[in-house]
Amino acid sequence: MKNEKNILDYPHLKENPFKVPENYFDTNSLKIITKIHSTSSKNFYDVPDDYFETNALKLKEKLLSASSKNAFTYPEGYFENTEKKLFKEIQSLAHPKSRIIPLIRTTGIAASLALFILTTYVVLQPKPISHSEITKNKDCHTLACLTKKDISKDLEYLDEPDIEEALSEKDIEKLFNSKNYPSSSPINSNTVNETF
Amino acid sequence: MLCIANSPFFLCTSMTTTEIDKKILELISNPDQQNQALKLLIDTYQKRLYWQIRRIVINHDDADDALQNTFIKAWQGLKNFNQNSSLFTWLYRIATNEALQILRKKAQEKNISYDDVAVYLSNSLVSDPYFKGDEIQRKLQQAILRLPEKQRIVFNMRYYDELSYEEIAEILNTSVGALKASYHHAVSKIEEYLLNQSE
Repeated sequence: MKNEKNILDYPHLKENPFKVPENYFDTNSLKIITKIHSTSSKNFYDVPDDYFETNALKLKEKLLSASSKNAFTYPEGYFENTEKKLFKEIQSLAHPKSRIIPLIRTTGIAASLALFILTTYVVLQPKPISHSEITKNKDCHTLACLTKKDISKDLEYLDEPDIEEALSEKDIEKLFNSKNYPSSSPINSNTVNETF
Repeated sequence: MLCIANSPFFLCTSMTTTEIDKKILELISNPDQQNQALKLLIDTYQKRLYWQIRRIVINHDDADDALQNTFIKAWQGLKNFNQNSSLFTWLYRIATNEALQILRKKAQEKNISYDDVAVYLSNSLVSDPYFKGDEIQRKLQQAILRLPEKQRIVFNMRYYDELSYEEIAEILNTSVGALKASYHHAVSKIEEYLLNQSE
């Protein structure tokens, strides 16, 4: 440790190892003075008297007034339009849309559909065949194909009780009432044909 | 005795630094004598401040820039100078800050870290035309450059300028105890470096 201290105590080490350009310090003061003057005269602008003294106060006032203002803005006329919008919204809530109109509409559609189906059914239903159409067929062997002559001819072979059995009382009564036949007159072939 | 070359008063008197400081401040208060005050201020302190700066920045041109900035800032703030501390201490503080500012600027310019600036400066000593030291002096400077910033400043002030711990404490605004510890660490590191280099 003692040897280590001796190193720095060596006088040669304490000597200044640096040097400066010749006459540096002799000319330096003038150089610095020139620079200081040029630096101080660099500002060509002037400010009003007490500007910096009053500026702090002005700034403070401005900051205080600014801090009380709302930093946020809103679109022009926002609140006017909002009022209208809200009013509309409230009105629509107070008078909700009627449910009757959709019900009528649905019912109408259903009725039309039902009418269409019914019409189609009726149109497509087979027409009742008239007697003349039946008799056109020569090979017909049913009772419907019988003509008045065939029947009156056949009636000759039938007894009265057989005829009465074939015709119900009500039908005979109805027949007599509508045509005003004399009660004594015998049933002719035309009358029998009409009851069929 | 203090001799000031080219002084407006041709000072080569027995005036102490404190007396010269008073004279400078007195001249400054009079607008007509401000130039004289400035010249007296520069003549009195330029060499001491220059060497303090030079030992930090190593390079002469950087030291020259830092010295000019020191006087410019001192002149701008001299009107508001607080006479509680000595003018010398105040100027030393400005000079140290300006020197460190130059190093930070250099680190930015070279795009290297602040610690690497010391390495860069250490290497530059070899080719510096304004370095007249021999091999052992160069190694001492390299050892100083390897120190942390505060230890380097304290070592330079104590070893080369032979300032008292109290003066250094006032300049650096720190305690005497901390300074002593810093100086002790610095000395140990330098001696160790020098011994290793000599082996």
